Amino acid sequence: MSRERRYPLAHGPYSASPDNADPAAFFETAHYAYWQAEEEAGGAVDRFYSVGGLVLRLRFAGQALVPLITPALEHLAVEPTEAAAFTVHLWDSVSSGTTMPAPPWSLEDYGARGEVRGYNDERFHTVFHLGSCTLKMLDARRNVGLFWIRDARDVPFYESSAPLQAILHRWMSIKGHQLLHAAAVGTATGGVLLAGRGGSGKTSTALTCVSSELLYAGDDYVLLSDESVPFVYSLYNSAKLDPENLHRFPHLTAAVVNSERLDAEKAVIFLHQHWPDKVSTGFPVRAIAAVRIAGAPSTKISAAPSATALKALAPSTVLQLSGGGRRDLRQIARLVKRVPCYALDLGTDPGEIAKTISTLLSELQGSDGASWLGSSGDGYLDGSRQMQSEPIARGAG
Amino acid sequence: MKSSTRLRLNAPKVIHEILDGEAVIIDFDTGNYYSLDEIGTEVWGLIERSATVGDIRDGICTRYDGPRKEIERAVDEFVAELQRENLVVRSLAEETEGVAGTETPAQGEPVSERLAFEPPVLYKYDDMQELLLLDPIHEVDETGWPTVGPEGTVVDE
Repeated sequence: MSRERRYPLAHGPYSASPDNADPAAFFETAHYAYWQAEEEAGGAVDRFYSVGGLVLRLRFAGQALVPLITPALEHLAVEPTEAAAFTVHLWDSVSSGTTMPAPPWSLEDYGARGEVRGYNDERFHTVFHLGSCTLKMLDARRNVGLFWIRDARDVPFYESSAPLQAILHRWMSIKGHQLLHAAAVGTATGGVLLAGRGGSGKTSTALTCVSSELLYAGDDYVLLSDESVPFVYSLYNSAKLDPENLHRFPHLTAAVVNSERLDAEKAVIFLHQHWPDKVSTGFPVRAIAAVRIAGAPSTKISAAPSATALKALAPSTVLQLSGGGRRDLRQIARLVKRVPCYALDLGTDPGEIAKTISTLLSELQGSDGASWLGSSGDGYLDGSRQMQSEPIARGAG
Repeated sequence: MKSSTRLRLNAPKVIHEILDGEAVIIDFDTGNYYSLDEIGTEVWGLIERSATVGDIRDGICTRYDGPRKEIERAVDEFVAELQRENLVVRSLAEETEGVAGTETPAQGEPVSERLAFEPPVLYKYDDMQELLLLDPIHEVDETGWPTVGPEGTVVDE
């Protein structure tokens, strides 16, 4: 990589302050670059998916990005249709032999979550993720998105396992759906959202459930529809597992797609490729469980205040997602008020984790969560002690 | 802290929701998030409704049982903590007495039985900060787009 530094952005004629930013003009410029790339690549490759009940069309300029973007969505594939609700154009410069016009903003305009200052408004959403060096733009009025990366070979594992997250978040929110940082497992009649920050045990729990009667709808991001009964749609069939936890799932080892890079990446598994019957496209949300690795042998679950679920779901969702904000927090608060909330202390026996969740769902099928836990006398499944949520740091009071 | 001091929530960088008497607060600048106990949430609600520090002291003293000086000291310390965390800031209208909307809501509500006062508590969680850290290793290539550099940070000439 060249160490030569050129800054046409910050100091050159292309530099633009947020005051005179023109997102519509740059969207057109970038969109034109896609058409050029498609022509140079020899045509478009189309894929169609049902996402949150809406048809998403991915239109690739050539084949280069197809195997890097589509595996995580493959369980949602549908037949081609002219009636796509949302079309995303995807290309890379290297395989198409084209050049992306320079951005009109400066280095100082990149926000912490990738939002480009001055290029986000009611109509346009513009994100450049510095980690993956990918540009994502959305024109909400025309229902068109753009995804560009310099070289398809540089698509990072986290983009492959959860592609197009930023523009899906924004576009789906316009359609009334909420992207949630949560795992989801369940059956066709109902399931549980597993909430918690990275490393809290969501992925391990979801993968453990794959070996049970429960189905897998996601380990990291899912889509919530605020219907009469909240409904969670699967978004990605991928699982991202810390390599040090891989030994707990020996039956998954052969399915890891990036086993040669586990020194720097999480182990990525596309469940639909190997266990399509274990991947669900969605189910009604019967409960929310704030998960925590407890370290004890047995798994415990207990009723929890809705604020506990809000703390487990909201900060990681709104802080991670570009464009996340007050609307997301309000949506999540509305969800946790409507669905029974629990604290799930994960034990070391994986079989017991799935069994505990299955038991919870069985009990919830015919009654509401409060009456079930109330009937056990102390309010705790298996008679466990209630989990105390300890703050990481406690301010003076 | 002067009784006439008026504070406001530090929106839009700070957002919050209140559930079952517990405020959950997120700070977009730091990536920290917080929760407040019941009395802390009550103070938060008063600040949101444009109460002065004096109004907050009076409101909490009206609703809770305890030595007035102790309650006032605890409320002041709590408000100062909220300010130190930049969750609330001084309002431009802080010295203006009697402007519209300054009625103290807590004072207007009937108090059937006063509860024992406990100092309000701010719980702080910093386990999400990493989500807002900018990747520091970038430079710009010949096309004008940032790229991950082999070393160092974004450097100007």
